[in-house]
Amino acid sequence: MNHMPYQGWIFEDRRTLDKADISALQSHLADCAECSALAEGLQQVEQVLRAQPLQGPTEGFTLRWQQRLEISRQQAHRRQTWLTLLVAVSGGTVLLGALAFLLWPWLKSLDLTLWAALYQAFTAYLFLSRAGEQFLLALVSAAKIIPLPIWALSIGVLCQLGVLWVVSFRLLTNPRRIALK
Amino acid sequence: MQNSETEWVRKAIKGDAQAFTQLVELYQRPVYNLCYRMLGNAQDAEDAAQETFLRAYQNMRRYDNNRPFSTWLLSIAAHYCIDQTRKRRYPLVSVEELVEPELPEPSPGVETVVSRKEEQQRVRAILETLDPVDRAAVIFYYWYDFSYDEICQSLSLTLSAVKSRLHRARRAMAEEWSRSQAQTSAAPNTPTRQEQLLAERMAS
Repeated sequence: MNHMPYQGWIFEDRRTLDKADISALQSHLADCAECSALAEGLQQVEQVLRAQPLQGPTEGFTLRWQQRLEISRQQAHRRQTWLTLLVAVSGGTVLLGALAFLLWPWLKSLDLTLWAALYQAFTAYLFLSRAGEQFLLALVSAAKIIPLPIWALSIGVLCQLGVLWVVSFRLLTNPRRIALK
Repeated sequence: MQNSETEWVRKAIKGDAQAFTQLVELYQRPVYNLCYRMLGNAQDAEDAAQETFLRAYQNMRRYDNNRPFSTWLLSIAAHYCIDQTRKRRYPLVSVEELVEPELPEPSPGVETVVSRKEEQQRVRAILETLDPVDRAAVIFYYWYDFSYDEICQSLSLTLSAVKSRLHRARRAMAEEWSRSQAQTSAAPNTPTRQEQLLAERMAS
């Protein structure tokens, strides 16, 4: 006897079978002990499964979950800190390495570089000192040429320009005192 | 209740831990039950249920509002339990059971309690014979009354795959049940270990 189609139907959802299939299955089950045992076994299992109650956790599940969430947060925070530190150290190392690579020719002859820098600084100092002397000389000559009233006038004009600048600056930067409607 | 749940879900998506705690309170039983049926012992089930809620909380932003929250949550639990079951790959026997079976206190309904406990153990043994994904499909179908579509969504399977897995699982369960029935009827007078311990306790 071929049990295959019947055993297929036994384990199928009954709602999906049509009437003809169901009656064929029932007549087969009446004759076949093997398939009948399987069908009965399935029926019993299904009954037992459906009768099993929902199992619940022990008291305080939510509290334990909150504690677990807190631990998980702390772990995540620690992980993040370590990651940041690792990235910073790695980045710094890479940057230093690149810098060393770029400056290697200078670093190789450090004494020469230092002497060159000193020479440049001394030259700059000499230039600035000579420029200062020239400027003082020009100022003394100008003081002798220009008469006293023109000096006084110039200083007065400069003071007035200064006052004007301060007032304009205050007006521009301070908020308006009149409320706009 | 539905409105409160929607509100809690909405708040939890925005990162409100207090709202998510309400969801934990609401769904702890179904999630725990799924984990317990999948893993077969209370300690692992507690761990898995806790982990499920943690993962759900951390992935709330990925939750699709068009889907029921319960389906999404149970789906996370099922996938986690399937992974755990695949990882361990050895028969489940809890330490408590090895030391001493949990016996009910002597009382008038003690036989009923013992028979219920045996039935639970048989259910557990039968579920353990199934492939983890088949087991999850069976649990969803028989305990949660999920439709085929909901099982598809929860286990990320196609409809035909769900049907074929349930078909295979039903056959395996029926065969296992018949086999265990045959063994029980072959040795009806042999007391189980649990019955022996119970008799000893009642005698003392």
